[in-house]
Amino acid sequence: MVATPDPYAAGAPFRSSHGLWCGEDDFLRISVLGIGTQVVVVTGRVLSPAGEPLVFSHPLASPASRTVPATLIRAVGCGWLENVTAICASAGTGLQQTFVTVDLVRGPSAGGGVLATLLQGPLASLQRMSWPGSPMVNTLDGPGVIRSIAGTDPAANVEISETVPAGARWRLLNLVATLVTDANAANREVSLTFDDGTTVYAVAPSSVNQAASLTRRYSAGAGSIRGAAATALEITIAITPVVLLAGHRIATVTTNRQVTDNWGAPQYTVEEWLEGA
Amino acid sequence: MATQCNTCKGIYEPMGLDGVPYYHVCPPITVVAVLRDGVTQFVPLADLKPADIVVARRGDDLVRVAVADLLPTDLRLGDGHAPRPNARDETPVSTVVGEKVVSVPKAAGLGVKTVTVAPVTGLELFDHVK
Repeated sequence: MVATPDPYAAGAPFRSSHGLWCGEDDFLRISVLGIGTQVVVVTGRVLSPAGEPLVFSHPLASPASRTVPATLIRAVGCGWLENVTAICASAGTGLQQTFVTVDLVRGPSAGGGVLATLLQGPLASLQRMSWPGSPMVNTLDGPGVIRSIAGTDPAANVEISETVPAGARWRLLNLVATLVTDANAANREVSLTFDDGTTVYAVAPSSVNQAASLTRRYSAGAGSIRGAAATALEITIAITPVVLLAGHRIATVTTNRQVTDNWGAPQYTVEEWLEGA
Repeated sequence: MATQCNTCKGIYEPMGLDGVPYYHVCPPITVVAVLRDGVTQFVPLADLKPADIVVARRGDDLVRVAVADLLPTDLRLGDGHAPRPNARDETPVSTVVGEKVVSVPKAAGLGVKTVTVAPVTGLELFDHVK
Protein backbone atom coordinates (compact mmCIF):
# COMPACT_ATOMS: atom_id res chain seq x y z
CA MET A 1 0.00 0.00 0.00
CA VAL A 2 1.31 3.43 -1.00
CA ALA A 3 0.84 6.25 1.49
CA THR A 4 -0.98 9.38 0.30
CA PRO A 5 1.55 12.21 0.01
CA ASP A 6 1.08 15.07 2.42
CA PRO A 7 1.18 18.30 0.39
CA TYR A 8 1.70 20.35 3.53
CA ALA A 9 4.79 18.52 4.61
CA ALA A 10 8.11 20.24 4.18
CA GLY A 11 9.74 19.02 1.03
CA ALA A 12 6.57 17.47 -0.30
CA PRO A 13 7.35 16.52 -3.90
CA PHE A 14 4.09 17.67 -5.54
CA ARG A 15 3.57 21.13 -4.15
CA SER A 16 5.23 24.07 -5.81
CA SER A 17 6.63 26.82 -3.64
CA HIS A 18 4.42 29.51 -5.20
CA GLY A 19 1.09 27.69 -4.89
CA LEU A 20 -1.90 29.74 -3.74
CA TRP A 21 -4.17 28.09 -1.19
CA CYS A 22 -7.78 28.33 -2.38
CA GLY A 23 -10.93 27.54 -0.46
CA GLU A 24 -14.58 27.26 -1.34
CA ASP A 25 -14.96 31.01 -1.77
CA ASP A 26 -12.14 31.43 -4.22
CA PHE A 27 -12.91 31.64 -7.92
CA LEU A 28 -11.06 32.29 -11.15
CA ARG A 29 -12.41 35.21 -13.16
CA ILE A 30 -11.36 35.11 -16.80
CA SER A 31 -11.85 38.29 -18.82
CA VAL A 32 -11.21 38.48 -22.55
CA LEU A 33 -11.23 41.45 -24.87
CA GLY A 34 -11.00 40.78 -28.55
CA ILE A 35 -11.45 42.42 -31.89
CA GLY A 36 -12.68 39.16 -33.40
CA THR A 37 -14.30 36.05 -31.99
CA GLN A 38 -11.31 34.03 -30.95
CA VAL A 39 -11.62 31.22 -28.43
CA VAL A 40 -9.46 31.42 -25.33
CA VAL A 41 -8.87 28.41 -23.11
CA VAL A 42 -7.58 28.84 -19.58
CA THR A 43 -6.10 25.67 -18.14
CA GLY A 44 -4.23 24.80 -14.98
CA ARG A 45 -3.74 22.48 -12.08
CA VAL A 46 -4.87 22.42 -8.47
CA LEU A 47 -3.25 20.19 -5.90
CA SER A 48 -5.98 18.84 -3.65
CA PRO A 49 -5.49 18.50 0.13
CA ALA A 50 -5.17 14.81 -0.52
CA GLY A 51 -2.17 15.47 -2.72
CA GLU A 52 -4.00 14.71 -5.94
CA PRO A 53 -3.31 17.01 -8.93
CA LEU A 54 -6.62 18.16 -10.44
CA VAL A 55 -6.79 19.65 -13.93
CA PHE A 56 -9.19 22.36 -15.09
CA SER A 57 -9.92 23.80 -18.53
CA HIS A 58 -12.25 26.74 -19.13
CA PRO A 59 -12.99 27.84 -22.73
CA LEU A 60 -14.33 31.30 -23.42
CA ALA A 61 -15.09 33.06 -26.69
CA SER A 62 -13.81 36.60 -26.98
CA PRO A 63 -16.68 39.03 -27.43
CA ALA A 64 -15.70 40.91 -30.61
CA SER A 65 -15.74 43.91 -28.34
CA ARG A 66 -12.82 46.16 -27.65
CA THR A 67 -14.50 47.81 -24.68
CA VAL A 68 -16.49 45.24 -22.70
CA PRO A 69 -14.76 41.96 -21.93
CA ALA A 70 -16.43 38.58 -21.99
CA THR A 71 -16.18 37.17 -18.49
CA LEU A 72 -16.27 33.68 -17.05
CA ILE A 73 -16.19 32.88 -13.33
CA ARG A 74 -15.40 29.36 -12.24
CA ALA A 75 -14.63 27.76 -8.88
CA VAL A 76 -11.04 26.80 -8.27
CA GLY A 77 -11.81 24.00 -5.88
CA CYS A 78 -10.20 23.36 -2.52
CA GLY A 79 -6.44 23.04 -2.73
CA TRP A 80 -3.26 24.67 -3.91
CA LEU A 81 -3.50 26.51 -7.23
CA GLU A 82 -0.31 25.42 -8.90
CA ASN A 83 -0.30 27.00 -12.35
CA VAL A 84 -2.53 28.73 -14.90
CA THR A 85 -2.03 28.96 -18.65
CA ALA A 86 -4.06 30.96 -21.19
CA ILE A 87 -4.13 29.70 -24.76
CA CYS A 88 -5.71 31.16 -27.87
CA ALA A 89 -7.31 28.20 -29.61
CA SER A 90 -8.18 30.05 -32.81
CA ALA A 91 -5.68 29.68 -35.63
CA GLY A 92 -4.31 32.75 -37.29
CA THR A 93 -4.80 35.10 -34.37
CA GLY A 94 -2.12 37.76 -34.05
CA LEU A 95 -0.98 39.49 -30.89
CA GLN A 96 -3.16 42.39 -29.75
CA GLN A 97 -6.27 40.81 -31.28
CA THR A 98 -7.06 39.06 -28.01
CA PHE A 99 -6.23 40.20 -24.50
CA VAL A 100 -6.82 38.08 -21.43
CA THR A 101 -6.89 38.78 -17.71
CA VAL A 102 -7.17 36.02 -15.10
CA ASP A 103 -7.95 37.07 -11.54
CA LEU A 104 -8.39 35.13 -8.35
CA VAL A 105 -11.58 36.62 -6.87
CA ARG A 106 -13.63 36.23 -3.74
CA GLY A 107 -17.07 34.79 -4.45
CA PRO A 108 -18.84 33.89 -7.68
CA SER A 109 -20.47 37.24 -8.37
CA ALA A 110 -19.25 39.52 -11.13
CA GLY A 111 -18.35 42.13 -8.53
CA GLY A 112 -16.24 39.80 -6.42
CA GLY A 113 -13.17 41.44 -4.97
CA VAL A 114 -9.91 40.69 -6.69
CA LEU A 115 -7.50 38.82 -4.44
CA ALA A 116 -4.75 38.37 -7.00
CA THR A 117 -4.23 39.04 -10.67
CA LEU A 118 -2.50 36.01 -12.08
CA LEU A 119 -2.30 36.75 -15.79
CA GLN A 120 -2.68 39.81 -17.96
CA GLY A 121 -1.56 40.10 -21.53
CA PRO A 122 -2.15 39.49 -25.22
CA LEU A 123 -2.49 36.05 -26.74
CA ALA A 124 -1.77 34.76 -30.21
CA SER A 125 -2.38 31.39 -31.77
CA LEU A 126 1.14 30.28 -30.96
CA GLN A 127 1.88 32.57 -28.03
CA ARG A 128 0.58 31.97 -24.53
CA MET A 129 0.51 33.55 -21.12
CA SER A 130 1.32 31.54 -18.03
CA TRP A 131 1.30 31.96 -14.27
CA PRO A 132 3.80 31.79 -12.81
CA GLY A 133 6.29 33.14 -15.28
CA SER A 134 4.70 35.57 -17.73
CA PRO A 135 5.02 39.28 -17.01
CA MET A 136 1.96 41.49 -16.57
CA VAL A 137 1.49 43.29 -19.87
CA ASN A 138 -0.83 46.15 -20.75
CA THR A 139 -2.66 46.49 -24.02
CA LEU A 140 -0.47 49.28 -25.33
CA ASP A 141 2.84 47.51 -24.70
CA GLY A 142 4.79 46.57 -27.78
CA PRO A 143 3.74 46.60 -31.39
CA GLY A 144 0.09 46.37 -32.39
CA VAL A 145 -1.50 43.98 -34.82
CA ILE A 146 -1.23 44.97 -38.48
CA ARG A 147 -4.61 45.00 -40.19
CA SER A 148 -5.67 45.60 -43.79
CA ILE A 149 -9.13 47.10 -43.84
CA ALA A 150 -11.57 47.56 -46.71
CA GLY A 151 -13.50 50.73 -45.98
CA THR A 152 -16.88 51.97 -47.10
CA ASP A 153 -17.35 52.68 -50.81
CA PRO A 154 -19.12 56.03 -50.61
CA ALA A 155 -21.88 57.02 -53.00
CA ALA A 156 -21.15 59.72 -55.58
CA ASN A 157 -20.84 63.18 -54.06
CA VAL A 158 -19.66 61.78 -50.74
CA GLU A 159 -16.17 61.98 -49.28
CA ILE A 160 -14.37 59.03 -47.79
CA SER A 161 -14.71 58.93 -44.03
CA GLU A 162 -13.41 56.09 -41.88
CA THR A 163 -13.91 56.09 -38.13
CA VAL A 164 -11.71 54.39 -35.54
CA PRO A 165 -13.86 51.87 -33.63
CA ALA A 166 -14.57 52.23 -29.93
CA GLY A 167 -11.78 50.84 -27.77
CA ALA A 168 -9.20 50.87 -30.56
CA ARG A 169 -6.07 52.90 -31.16
CA TRP A 170 -4.80 53.07 -34.72
CA ARG A 171 -1.64 54.19 -36.41
CA LEU A 172 -2.39 54.72 -40.09
CA LEU A 173 0.31 53.15 -42.22
CA ASN A 174 -0.99 53.34 -45.79
CA LEU A 175 -4.18 54.18 -47.64
CA VAL A 176 -5.20 53.78 -51.26
CA ALA A 177 -8.40 55.10 -52.86
CA THR A 178 -9.53 55.97 -56.37
CA LEU A 179 -11.34 59.13 -57.41
CA VAL A 180 -13.29 59.29 -60.66
CA THR A 181 -14.07 62.86 -61.65
CA ASP A 182 -17.13 63.78 -63.68
CA ALA A 183 -17.23 65.91 -66.82
CA ASN A 184 -17.61 69.26 -65.05
CA ALA A 185 -14.56 71.37 -65.78
CA ALA A 186 -12.77 72.05 -62.52
CA ASN A 187 -9.43 71.15 -61.04
CA ARG A 188 -9.95 69.00 -57.99
CA GLU A 189 -7.32 68.79 -55.31
CA VAL A 190 -7.46 66.05 -52.73
CA SER A 191 -6.32 66.22 -49.13
CA LEU A 192 -6.39 63.59 -46.47
CA THR A 193 -7.61 64.95 -43.15
CA PHE A 194 -7.55 63.60 -39.62
CA ASP A 195 -10.03 64.78 -37.03
CA ASP A 196 -11.17 63.90 -33.52
CA GLY A 197 -14.75 63.38 -34.65
CA THR A 198 -15.33 67.10 -34.85
CA THR A 199 -12.19 69.14 -35.34
CA VAL A 200 -9.47 68.56 -37.92
CA TYR A 201 -5.99 68.32 -36.41
CA ALA A 202 -3.90 67.25 -39.39
CA VAL A 203 -4.12 67.72 -43.15
CA ALA A 204 -2.03 66.01 -45.78
CA PRO A 205 -2.57 67.57 -49.23
CA SER A 206 -1.76 65.79 -52.46
CA SER A 207 -0.62 69.09 -54.01
CA VAL A 208 -1.62 67.76 -57.43
CA ASN A 209 -4.69 68.64 -59.46
CA GLN A 210 -7.08 66.17 -60.98
CA ALA A 211 -9.08 67.58 -63.87
CA ALA A 212 -12.45 66.49 -65.23
CA SER A 213 -13.22 63.00 -66.54
CA LEU A 214 -10.17 61.36 -65.06
CA THR A 215 -9.54 58.35 -62.86
CA ARG A 216 -6.70 58.71 -60.38
CA ARG A 217 -5.58 56.48 -57.58
CA TYR A 218 -4.34 58.22 -54.47
CA SER A 219 -1.79 56.48 -52.30
CA ALA A 220 -0.93 57.83 -48.87
CA GLY A 221 2.00 56.65 -46.84
CA ALA A 222 4.83 57.88 -44.70
CA GLY A 223 7.60 59.31 -46.82
CA SER A 224 5.63 59.22 -50.05
CA ILE A 225 7.17 61.26 -52.82
CA ARG A 226 5.52 62.34 -56.05
CA GLY A 227 6.64 59.99 -58.80
CA ALA A 228 7.73 60.59 -62.34
CA ALA A 229 5.42 60.82 -65.35
CA ALA A 230 5.23 57.06 -65.67
CA THR A 231 3.18 56.98 -62.52
CA ALA A 232 0.83 59.76 -63.56
CA LEU A 233 -2.22 57.61 -62.86
CA GLU A 234 -1.11 57.41 -59.27
CA ILE A 235 -0.98 60.41 -56.98
CA THR A 236 0.87 60.13 -53.72
CA ILE A 237 0.14 61.85 -50.42
CA ALA A 238 2.82 62.06 -47.77
CA ILE A 239 1.55 61.45 -44.25
CA THR A 240 3.20 61.26 -40.90
CA PRO A 241 2.55 58.11 -38.85
CA VAL A 242 -0.65 59.56 -37.39
CA VAL A 243 -1.95 57.93 -34.21
CA LEU A 244 -5.74 58.02 -33.93
CA LEU A 245 -7.93 57.33 -30.93
CA ALA A 246 -11.45 55.91 -30.90
CA GLY A 247 -13.91 58.12 -32.75
CA HIS A 248 -11.21 59.86 -34.75
CA ARG A 249 -11.72 59.94 -38.50
CA ILE A 250 -9.63 59.56 -41.60
CA ALA A 251 -11.34 61.49 -44.38
CA THR A 252 -10.80 62.97 -47.80
CA VAL A 253 -11.49 66.58 -48.64
CA THR A 254 -11.81 67.18 -52.36
CA THR A 255 -11.55 70.86 -53.15
CA ASN A 256 -13.77 71.81 -56.11
CA ARG A 257 -15.57 68.50 -55.86
CA GLN A 258 -18.45 68.17 -58.31
CA VAL A 259 -21.76 66.51 -57.63
CA THR A 260 -21.09 63.25 -59.47
CA ASP A 261 -17.42 62.87 -58.60
CA ASN A 262 -17.10 59.42 -57.14
CA TRP A 263 -14.67 57.96 -54.63
CA GLY A 264 -14.13 54.23 -54.53
CA ALA A 265 -13.71 52.19 -51.37
CA PRO A 266 -10.48 52.94 -49.55
CA GLN A 267 -8.14 50.11 -48.64
CA TYR A 268 -5.84 50.92 -45.77
CA THR A 269 -3.47 49.33 -43.33
CA VAL A 270 -3.27 50.26 -39.69
CA GLU A 271 -1.38 49.13 -36.65
CA GLU A 272 -4.05 48.50 -34.02
CA TRP A 273 -3.96 48.28 -30.26
CA LEU A 274 -6.74 47.67 -27.78
CA GLU A 275 -7.05 50.84 -25.73
CA GLY A 276 -7.85 48.82 -22.62
CA ALA A 277 -9.95 51.58 -21.13
CA MET B 1 -23.09 40.05 -50.72
CA ALA B 2 -22.23 43.42 -49.29
CA THR B 3 -24.14 45.80 -47.09
CA GLN B 4 -25.48 49.17 -48.20
CA CYS B 5 -26.33 51.93 -45.78
CA ASN B 6 -29.78 53.33 -46.51
CA THR B 7 -28.73 56.75 -45.22
CA CYS B 8 -25.53 57.55 -47.10
CA LYS B 9 -25.71 54.76 -49.76
CA GLY B 10 -22.18 53.67 -48.87
CA ILE B 11 -21.36 50.01 -49.54
CA TYR B 12 -19.18 47.90 -47.29
CA GLU B 13 -18.47 44.42 -46.01
CA PRO B 14 -19.60 44.03 -42.39
CA MET B 15 -16.82 41.53 -41.72
CA GLY B 16 -13.21 42.02 -42.79
CA LEU B 17 -11.10 39.31 -44.35
CA ASP B 18 -9.27 39.01 -41.04
CA GLY B 19 -12.51 38.07 -39.29
CA VAL B 20 -12.79 41.39 -37.53
CA PRO B 21 -16.14 43.23 -37.75
CA TYR B 22 -16.20 46.51 -39.67
CA TYR B 23 -18.28 49.27 -38.16
CA HIS B 24 -19.65 51.70 -40.73
CA VAL B 25 -20.18 55.33 -39.77
CA CYS B 26 -21.87 57.71 -42.23
CA PRO B 27 -19.69 60.56 -43.48
CA PRO B 28 -20.91 64.14 -43.02
CA ILE B 29 -22.37 65.97 -46.00
CA THR B 30 -20.41 68.62 -47.86
CA VAL B 31 -21.87 72.10 -47.75
CA VAL B 32 -20.84 75.15 -49.74
CA ALA B 33 -20.97 78.79 -48.66
CA VAL B 34 -23.05 80.67 -51.23
CA LEU B 35 -24.85 83.93 -51.78
CA ARG B 36 -28.35 82.98 -52.92
CA ASP B 37 -31.26 85.38 -53.22
CA GLY B 38 -29.20 87.98 -51.42
CA VAL B 39 -28.60 85.76 -48.40
CA THR B 40 -25.32 84.09 -47.48
CA GLN B 41 -25.91 80.52 -46.43
CA PHE B 42 -24.55 77.02 -46.55
CA VAL B 43 -26.19 74.71 -49.05
CA PRO B 44 -25.45 71.03 -49.65
CA LEU B 45 -23.15 70.50 -52.60
CA ALA B 46 -25.86 68.52 -54.37
CA ASP B 47 -28.15 71.56 -54.16
CA LEU B 48 -25.68 74.00 -55.67
CA LYS B 49 -27.32 76.04 -58.47
CA PRO B 50 -25.65 77.73 -61.47
CA ALA B 51 -26.80 81.16 -60.27
CA ASP B 52 -25.39 80.75 -56.76
CA ILE B 53 -22.52 83.10 -56.03
CA VAL B 54 -19.45 81.55 -54.44
CA VAL B 55 -16.08 82.92 -53.42
CA ALA B 56 -13.21 81.49 -55.41
CA ARG B 57 -9.49 81.96 -55.64
CA ARG B 58 -8.57 83.02 -59.16
CA GLY B 59 -4.84 83.31 -59.43
CA ASP B 60 -3.82 85.50 -56.51
CA ASP B 61 -7.25 87.12 -56.20
CA LEU B 62 -10.42 86.24 -54.37
CA VAL B 63 -13.49 86.79 -56.53
CA ARG B 64 -17.24 86.46 -56.24
CA VAL B 65 -18.41 84.39 -59.14
CA ALA B 66 -21.53 82.53 -60.18
CA VAL B 67 -21.20 78.78 -60.16
CA ALA B 68 -21.96 78.72 -63.89
CA ASP B 69 -19.05 81.10 -64.54
CA LEU B 70 -16.36 79.25 -62.58
CA LEU B 71 -13.22 78.54 -64.58
CA PRO B 72 -11.57 75.14 -64.42
CA THR B 73 -8.63 76.71 -62.63
CA ASP B 74 -10.73 78.56 -60.04
CA LEU B 75 -10.59 77.21 -56.53
CA ARG B 76 -13.97 77.30 -54.84
CA LEU B 77 -13.62 78.34 -51.21
CA GLY B 78 -15.95 78.00 -48.27
CA ASP B 79 -16.67 74.28 -48.45
CA GLY B 80 -17.42 72.69 -45.10
CA HIS B 81 -19.09 69.72 -43.49
CA ALA B 82 -22.42 69.33 -41.76
CA PRO B 83 -23.84 66.38 -39.84
CA ARG B 84 -25.73 63.98 -42.06
CA PRO B 85 -29.41 63.66 -41.09
CA ASN B 86 -30.29 60.16 -39.87
CA ALA B 87 -26.60 59.22 -39.84
CA ARG B 88 -25.87 55.57 -39.10
CA ASP B 89 -23.12 54.83 -36.60
CA GLU B 90 -22.37 51.14 -36.11
CA THR B 91 -19.89 51.80 -33.32
CA PRO B 92 -20.93 49.08 -30.88
CA VAL B 93 -22.40 49.95 -27.54
CA SER B 94 -21.73 46.84 -25.49
CA THR B 95 -23.25 45.54 -22.30
CA VAL B 96 -22.96 42.26 -20.45
CA VAL B 97 -26.09 40.11 -20.28
CA GLY B 98 -25.44 37.02 -18.21
CA GLU B 99 -22.03 35.90 -19.39
CA LYS B 100 -22.52 37.23 -22.93
CA VAL B 101 -21.46 40.56 -24.34
CA VAL B 102 -24.34 42.08 -26.30
CA SER B 103 -23.62 44.94 -28.69
CA VAL B 104 -25.99 47.27 -30.53
CA PRO B 105 -25.17 50.08 -33.00
CA LYS B 106 -24.77 53.52 -31.53
CA ALA B 107 -27.24 54.91 -34.09
CA ALA B 108 -29.28 52.79 -36.49
CA GLY B 109 -29.99 55.58 -38.98
CA LEU B 110 -32.27 54.40 -41.77
CA GLY B 111 -30.96 50.85 -41.59
CA VAL B 112 -29.13 48.78 -44.17
CA LYS B 113 -29.83 46.34 -46.98
CA THR B 114 -27.76 43.68 -48.68
CA VAL B 115 -26.54 44.29 -52.21
CA THR B 116 -24.51 42.44 -54.78
CA VAL B 117 -21.33 44.18 -55.84
CA ALA B 118 -19.85 43.52 -59.27
CA PRO B 119 -16.24 42.33 -59.09
CA VAL B 120 -13.57 44.84 -59.96
CA THR B 121 -12.11 44.04 -63.35
CA GLY B 122 -10.18 47.10 -64.45
CA LEU B 123 -12.18 47.19 -67.69
CA GLU B 124 -13.84 50.37 -66.52
CA LEU B 125 -10.63 52.16 -67.45
CA PHE B 126 -11.78 51.99 -71.07
CA ASP B 127 -14.69 54.22 -70.17
CA HIS B 128 -12.27 56.92 -69.17
CA VAL B 129 -9.60 56.53 -71.87
CA LYS B 130 -11.06 57.41 -75.24
